[in-house]
Amino acid sequence: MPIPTKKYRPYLLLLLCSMLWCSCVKDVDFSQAEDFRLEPVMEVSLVYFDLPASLIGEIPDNTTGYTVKDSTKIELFSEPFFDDNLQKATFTFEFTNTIERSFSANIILYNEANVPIDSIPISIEASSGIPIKVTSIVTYNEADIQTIKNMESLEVVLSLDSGTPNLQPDSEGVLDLKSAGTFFMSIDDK
Amino acid sequence: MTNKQAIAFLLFISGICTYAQNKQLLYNFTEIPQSLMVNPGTAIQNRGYFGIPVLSGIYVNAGSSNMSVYDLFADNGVDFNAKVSNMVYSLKAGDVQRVNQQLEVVNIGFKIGGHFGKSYITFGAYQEIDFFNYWPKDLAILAYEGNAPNIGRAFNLSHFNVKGELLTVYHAGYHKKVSDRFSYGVRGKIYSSIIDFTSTKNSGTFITTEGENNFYRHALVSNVEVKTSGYASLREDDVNGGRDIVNKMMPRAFLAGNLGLGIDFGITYSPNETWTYTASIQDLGFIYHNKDVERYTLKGQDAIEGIELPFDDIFNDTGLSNNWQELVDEIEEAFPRDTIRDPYTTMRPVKLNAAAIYNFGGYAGKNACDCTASGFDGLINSVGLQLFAEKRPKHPEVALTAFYYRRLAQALRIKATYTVDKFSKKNIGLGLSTHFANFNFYLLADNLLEYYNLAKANNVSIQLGFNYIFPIRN
Repeated sequence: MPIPTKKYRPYLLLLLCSMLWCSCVKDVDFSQAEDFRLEPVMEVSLVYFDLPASLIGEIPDNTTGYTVKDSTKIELFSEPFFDDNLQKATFTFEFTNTIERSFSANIILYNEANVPIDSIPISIEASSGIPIKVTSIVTYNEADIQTIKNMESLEVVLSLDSGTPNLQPDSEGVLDLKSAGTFFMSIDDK
Repeated sequence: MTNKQAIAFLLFISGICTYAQNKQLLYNFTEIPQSLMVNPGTAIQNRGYFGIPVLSGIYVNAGSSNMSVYDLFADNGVDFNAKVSNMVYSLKAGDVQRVNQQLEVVNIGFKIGGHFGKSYITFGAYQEIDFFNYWPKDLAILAYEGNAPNIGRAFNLSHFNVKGELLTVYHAGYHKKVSDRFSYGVRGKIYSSIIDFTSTKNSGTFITTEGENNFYRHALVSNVEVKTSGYASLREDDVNGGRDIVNKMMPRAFLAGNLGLGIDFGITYSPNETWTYTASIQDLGFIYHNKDVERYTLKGQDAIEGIELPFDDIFNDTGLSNNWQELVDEIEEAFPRDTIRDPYTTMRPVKLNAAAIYNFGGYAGKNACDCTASGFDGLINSVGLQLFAEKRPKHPEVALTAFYYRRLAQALRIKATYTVDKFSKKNIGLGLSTHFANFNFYLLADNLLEYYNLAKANNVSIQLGFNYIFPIRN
């Protein structure tokens, strides 16, 4: 039995249209996106080396000491991504010494003009058979984070302290360095 | 638009809806000529029709599984970043954000072969936007936490899986009513792609582990590619503002873009007047992108532990090596940057619909049996089940719909649906088709329970249109 059109059509149209008209987006606040920020923490390996005693032993009369240095550019932290978002950083340097001689290390950060902007002195005792582990952690808070952002190169100055025994090409032991940076970012749209 | 507004807009878009393309209300709604677009073999209730240009078929759907706009932007005093955190940890790599929109420009159909003709022709064109993104879970967590709390965790690059396209579809269809029991239809399509970006077959991992020579070892194995067409030319220097972009895109809408071919086909089988079975396949086709192609790749593998200071070399020849440059060179060699312009092919998202329908109640129309024109579909009530499946990059999206359909009067038909899919278990839809004089108006909307606050909806779709109908003469 067909149902009369006119009787139902207005009601149905009203129902559907009112559902559409009444629909809305309630209780939302899109301006909250202003507060959006990401705070990832990144661990990145930095410089490292392995220096065998046998190599130092090739230096004649090394009981009086000897100094070597090497530097590397690290043109990473002056990039806009770090410059804009880096809040805090820590550098960790870890020397492990199994050589029977002590060392003095100095890690120097340079800016673009090659002017030293920070230095981290580290003393490494001689090993008496067990590995000597020296860890130095340097923290750059918000107040001094600009140092890292200005950094363009890093130099490791390594001095063999004067002392005995005189290392020979067949001397045993290794001095190694491991280092890493922990970078605390705060990424927003300011 | 500031960056923040853009982010808010993207989050909004990604938050609005879920799951589209499932036109569960339109499928088998035979009074609406556009139901032929979902099943070219559907029963036809008219001698001919034409869609009112640009107003005949407007369809919008957006969806986001497991996350709604409200979850993110609710004005409830909860810290926004806490809500973002909740989103990052609650969404899975299989969750999708999608938008699908279609606009008919022309749609015309008519019976051929005179009053007793059994064949029917349709043709037309519509514009379509399709955006489909899988939540890039691992990359989101990497961006959110960084690698520091995730030493030893392999971040999966295959989670990056996104596809978007803007295209025009030209189509021509043929429908044949073989008998009162059986009809079929086919439709050929030419796709004219305006813009496409596709990155759906990525693989690789990024992992930070304890190193051998240094604290950490950072390893990247990457096979990531983003293919684009129609995009490179929009970045050219002479393209400034919307007008230039439209001028560049317009010709591509008219077959000057990247072209593709596809077909739809479908059947309706009514073994008796109480049972009807229908099935259709849509968009079985491809697009060949060879114009204005740019493909960006990150392919290769490398593992680094930092910069080695080669003191051993210094002892030997006191020379400083450029360690930094060596590292940069190593990375650039491992991941050669290249912009490739080779053609590529994309498959359209093929869709399957199938339904079993039980018809009951009295006959529509004034006469006891008014079924001369449309076979056994003269009963005023129908209930049934519909299955929908759509192929997407990772796996098919599937939905099951139960429906009730009623002819309330000669000129008023309604259909109510209840749909279950992975996004919603309470998707209720209502559709209406009405004739004023010879004009047909239809309005179909689903997820009605969410309409009181659209922000809470995971998925919304609306479809409406106007047609002029040439009714069947008795």
